[in-house]
Amino acid sequence: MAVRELGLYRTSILRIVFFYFLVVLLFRFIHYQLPFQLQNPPLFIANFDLAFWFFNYFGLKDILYQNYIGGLFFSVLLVAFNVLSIIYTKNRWFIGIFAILFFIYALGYNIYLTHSSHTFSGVILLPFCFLFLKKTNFELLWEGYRYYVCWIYLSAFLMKVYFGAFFQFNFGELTFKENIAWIIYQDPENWRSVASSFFIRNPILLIIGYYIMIPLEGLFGIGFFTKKMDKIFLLLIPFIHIVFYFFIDVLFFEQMLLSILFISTTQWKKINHFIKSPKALLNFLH
Amino acid sequence: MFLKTCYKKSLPIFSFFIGFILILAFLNYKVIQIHPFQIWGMFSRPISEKEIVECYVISINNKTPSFYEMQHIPKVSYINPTISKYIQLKHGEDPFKYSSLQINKKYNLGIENIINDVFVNRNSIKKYPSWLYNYMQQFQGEEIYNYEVNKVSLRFDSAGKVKKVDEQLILNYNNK
Repeated sequence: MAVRELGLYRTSILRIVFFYFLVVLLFRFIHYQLPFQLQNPPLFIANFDLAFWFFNYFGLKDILYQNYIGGLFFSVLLVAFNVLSIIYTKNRWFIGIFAILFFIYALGYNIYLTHSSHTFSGVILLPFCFLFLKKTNFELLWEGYRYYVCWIYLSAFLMKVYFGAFFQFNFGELTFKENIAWIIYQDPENWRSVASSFFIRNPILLIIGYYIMIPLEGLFGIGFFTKKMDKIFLLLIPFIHIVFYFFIDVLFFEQMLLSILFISTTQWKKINHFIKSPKALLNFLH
Repeated sequence: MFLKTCYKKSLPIFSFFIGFILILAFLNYKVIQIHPFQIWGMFSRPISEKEIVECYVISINNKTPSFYEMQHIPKVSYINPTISKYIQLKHGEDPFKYSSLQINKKYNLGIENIINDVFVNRNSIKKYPSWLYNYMQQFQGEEIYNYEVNKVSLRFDSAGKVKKVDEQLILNYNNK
């Protein structure tokens, strides 16, 4: 499989990726999860994650999360360097600083969540790709990241096979009940509760749904051999995460960005055209 | 094939990918999550069949906010895990801290101070109730005078609704 020649569209790709990160920051702000909104959380974790150890040992948590001013300053810097990177797409300082700050934010988020969630782990390396201005280097990194994403979803499938969840016939039903029960309990009249009760009454739908969704993760293994499925993967990533949100109440908002890795050269050519000429976009929409 | 192209076009990027793949393979093999590598093992192990499911319910000023009244994302993706951690620490040491201390002892690594620094001190749970109050007060429209966290046991009936079968008080906080 040839490496896609996307170096020409680096600016457009960067702007879309960084704009999504800006939306991520807004999303976290609306949901009270930026450092200055966490109100000096007393509990944290380190697990066996050496990055967490580093973060905790060198006092980053005290400066950025245990201190309102530090947290506010850090949050402002995150937004500022994101916007600067969108404007000055070739300035490696702005891109690099944002990439490091976002990495630190993601670590702190998980440390104080007291649970190593996966919502950030797939995307935290993405901004680093744009540090490479040389066309060939950027293309190689972008292509390599595409394979990494294929592995992320394939490994999720393989783990379920290896550890046995895939062979537990009613796994889909059990996880659904466990994660949705509180919604039905707290608000039985809510549309989501009504729909959930329908699925509880018809568990066969949950079982079938589970055996449709999980192999979809495994499908990403094909991505190692051909790019013919990329158009499907592009839509599959948000689809998987939206379904997971409604059925197991887990929202991987950040990780949905990974679908961008499956956009083809032809599609980027069109997107680039629209970004550079808003008039063309308006004509297209008309 | 891709790695072959990398090797031809850029040796440093090729070396980076080889290193990345080796670490990723090792971490997947050991199922250890170390950032920035994504080791996605969630929902991969079978779960026990049980008739009763448990969840955390937060009541504010003696009322249980509805699904819409309670901020959903912070509740599920931030408060719930911290309540679990609070309960865990109330009953004993962080299991990762315990294991780290054991490894340190077994291999005589001499990193006990580092372990104590990077893991939370169990005494911190005393600050948790007032922290949860401050955190929720940000987005709870009314002033919070009192809140309660309960672990509620629920049983599903044939209509797909839930019935409370047990309730265990986790914490009760009054704002003086």
